[in-house]
Amino acid sequence: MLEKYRYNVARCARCGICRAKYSEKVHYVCPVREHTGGFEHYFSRGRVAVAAGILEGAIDYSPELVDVLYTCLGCKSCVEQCGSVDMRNGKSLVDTAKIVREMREDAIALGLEPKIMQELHATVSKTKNTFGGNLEEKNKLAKKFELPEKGDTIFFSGCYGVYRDRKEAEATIKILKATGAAPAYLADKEWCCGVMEYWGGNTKVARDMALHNLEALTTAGVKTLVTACSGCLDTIKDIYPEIIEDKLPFKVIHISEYLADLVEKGELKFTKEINKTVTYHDPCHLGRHARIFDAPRKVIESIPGITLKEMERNREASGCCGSGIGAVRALEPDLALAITNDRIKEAVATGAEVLTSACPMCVEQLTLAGRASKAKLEYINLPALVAEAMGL
Amino acid sequence: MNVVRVKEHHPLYSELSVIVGSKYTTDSDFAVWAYSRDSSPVPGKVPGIIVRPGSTEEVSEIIKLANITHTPVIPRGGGASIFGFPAGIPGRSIVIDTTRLDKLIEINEENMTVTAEAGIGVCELGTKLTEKGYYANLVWAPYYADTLGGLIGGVMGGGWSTRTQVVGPNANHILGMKVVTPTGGIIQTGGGPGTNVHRKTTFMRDGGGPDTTGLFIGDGGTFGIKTEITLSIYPLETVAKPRGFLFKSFDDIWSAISKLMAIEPFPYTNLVGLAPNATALFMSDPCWVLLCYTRGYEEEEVTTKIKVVDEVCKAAGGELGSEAIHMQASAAGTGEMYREMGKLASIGMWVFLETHVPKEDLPRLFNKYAELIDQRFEEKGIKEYGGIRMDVMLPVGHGECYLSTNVYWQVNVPEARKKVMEIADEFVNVTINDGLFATTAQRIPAGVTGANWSPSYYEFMRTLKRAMDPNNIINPGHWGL
Repeated sequence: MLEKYRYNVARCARCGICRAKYSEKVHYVCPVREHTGGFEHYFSRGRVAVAAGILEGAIDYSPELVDVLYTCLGCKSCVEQCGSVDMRNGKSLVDTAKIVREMREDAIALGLEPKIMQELHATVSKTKNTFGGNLEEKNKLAKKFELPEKGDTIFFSGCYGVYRDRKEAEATIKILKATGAAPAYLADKEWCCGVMEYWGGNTKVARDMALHNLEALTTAGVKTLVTACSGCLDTIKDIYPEIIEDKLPFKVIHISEYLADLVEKGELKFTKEINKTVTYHDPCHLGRHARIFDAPRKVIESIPGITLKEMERNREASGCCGSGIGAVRALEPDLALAITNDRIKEAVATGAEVLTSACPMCVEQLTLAGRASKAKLEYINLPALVAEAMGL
Repeated sequence: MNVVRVKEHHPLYSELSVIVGSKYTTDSDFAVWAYSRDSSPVPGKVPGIIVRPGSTEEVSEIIKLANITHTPVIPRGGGASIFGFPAGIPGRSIVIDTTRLDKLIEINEENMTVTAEAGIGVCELGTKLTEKGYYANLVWAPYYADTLGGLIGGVMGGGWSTRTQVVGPNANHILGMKVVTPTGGIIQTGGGPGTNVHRKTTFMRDGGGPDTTGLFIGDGGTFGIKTEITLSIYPLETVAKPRGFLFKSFDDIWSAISKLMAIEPFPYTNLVGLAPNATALFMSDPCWVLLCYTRGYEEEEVTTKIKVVDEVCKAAGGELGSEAIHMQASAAGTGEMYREMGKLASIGMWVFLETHVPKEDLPRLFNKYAELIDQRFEEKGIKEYGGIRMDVMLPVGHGECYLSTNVYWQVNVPEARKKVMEIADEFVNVTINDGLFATTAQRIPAGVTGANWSPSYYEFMRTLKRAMDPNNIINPGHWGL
């Protein structure tokens, strides 16, 4: 509920740094402001002002406002630029992504959830995955790689890894096995992590997913959870503790962190040179949300033959892929595409041959837009790139 | 919570949509609410409709329509003003959001000028000039939020850069403007192209008749809506050195400041005096601190100037600060200290009580205002709301000083805000009654400023406003007119 953020909403200084269009670090802060009518309610300061108006009882939720709320990508570019800190807990003082999420939750409670989001959440509730796929697919993956159900190290495939980009999931499993991690896999007991439901405002479904997964993981004896999906990583690592109001009894890492650690120890062995120039897209949920910027770069740079070329906006200042946890892509496809095209142009400007990222959702969004615009780029997820260089 | 379903459009919704396009027109309740306030704690006024025009001609058409229908217009830049957004007529006014007019038109390296649309962000303009090796005298804060037009209209002197203390405010560096007048006419000031029909290049404000450019500086947008602005630019300095000195008392630091500001040429580019209540933010043992930043084009020039600063500060009892203090001087001198204003929210909710004081009055008035604010803090129980204040003083030229008491409070309850605003209102009134100036040209300071004009000057301004804006369309009520 937005009420939880009353203190934070009132503390926005309305200074407007979140509307800066150009600074030494970023060309523009909010991609949504850039690709819409650009009114205040399309970026952080105005969204927080609207939240204040609701809390003060001056304005109410309406279908039109709900449409605007679902244009927020949750990319946290504004939060990054704002930089204000809540001295009570060290967290971001004005976390607009969270504030908008709470407003979405309130709108859902009023029966104002957009139809597409209702359908998505119903699908997740029913099928336990985002795409309405059969959980049997996860059993097939477990069987193919002879993955046990229990173990210290659990691979969390997420929905994308199984129903959209199987290559990413398979590459991750191969890497984990080849490097001696002996991964286990929950298979059909692994439900959607709940990322789309949580950020989409459907806390109930997100909570159901979280509680189920935590129980399944605990039963499986998890000590370390490894995932290649930045959405799953951030949700399990940062949102699950918020949902259960407790610390997790296990460690959550992204495959890039696992690999970077091996690089550090000199234990990652490559058998093939990839003589290509590569550019890396920072996923919002891995970067600004989970603060992982160095690990994927360390891994990419360790691959023999690869030259890493950074896009103009990178790391904390990275542009969003435009997907907005699928919600913006589903509800505002033209807006999402315009934002993705900006990113594709930046990737092309580096002169790179390959565009990689550490999130299947980003890779899918960039691939679709890049191919549509006939950009001369090859799109590959980070685990697949590493697996190729390892000869797996 | 109730759900609002349908709201009638603003009476000019269709006409305005035809002018700027429906994508850039909105009158949704949440949209106008989001435009009701600036970055100050001053209570907001909700406008009737917002438009984001994309050209000077569109601005002109909006103004003509407003005149026909007698609808008030409020121009708005970055929305970063710190003392209240012009009120207009709530529920009816048209807010012209100028931020779509954001093109950098030309950097003219031969004439050392830059021309940009008025809605360009100051940070964007500043960054693009830096990339070319130049600077303009823009603003040190809010660097990321201000627009060029908002800065020039909304701030005393048209903006304050980190070099203002030695080269004067931005007003001294503005060459000309394109302005949409309150009746919808489009004029070009500055004596250059657009003023003299035969002149092709360069601007000279004091040529071609009276200097009308000044009419639009610090006017809060009331005399017209700026759409293009030409400024002088200068090559970036190549050498810069910071210096931080610690002082035991106000008398000691003031002795150093007053001696330094009397020297010609100035041995500093930026000089900031901080009271212990401000240095407590970065020092475990807070004291009076003088931050100096000297820029130049030759190592020898800067070294010589810094030597002068050292001698004056030491003679006044100053102790050379640590490397960390010098870094603070760098942050102040480059503007970094003030740029990321959002971070101020970490310290607390804030209001800046700023004014300009003649040099000879500074010690007396500094103490007077410190006592006044202390007393009000006590009376109103501001400390119970986590209230703190930070006092800052800066010399400006040889004879003026900027003085600011930044008030922060921690508890966001309406009564806290109300009580702090009572102090702020009193401060504006007291300082203007002491013959000082408000630094901003927005709602509250503009009202108090107008109320303190002499009868003859008030009459002159009223005549001017009536002549230029016969329907009182733009910022009605500004300066009490």
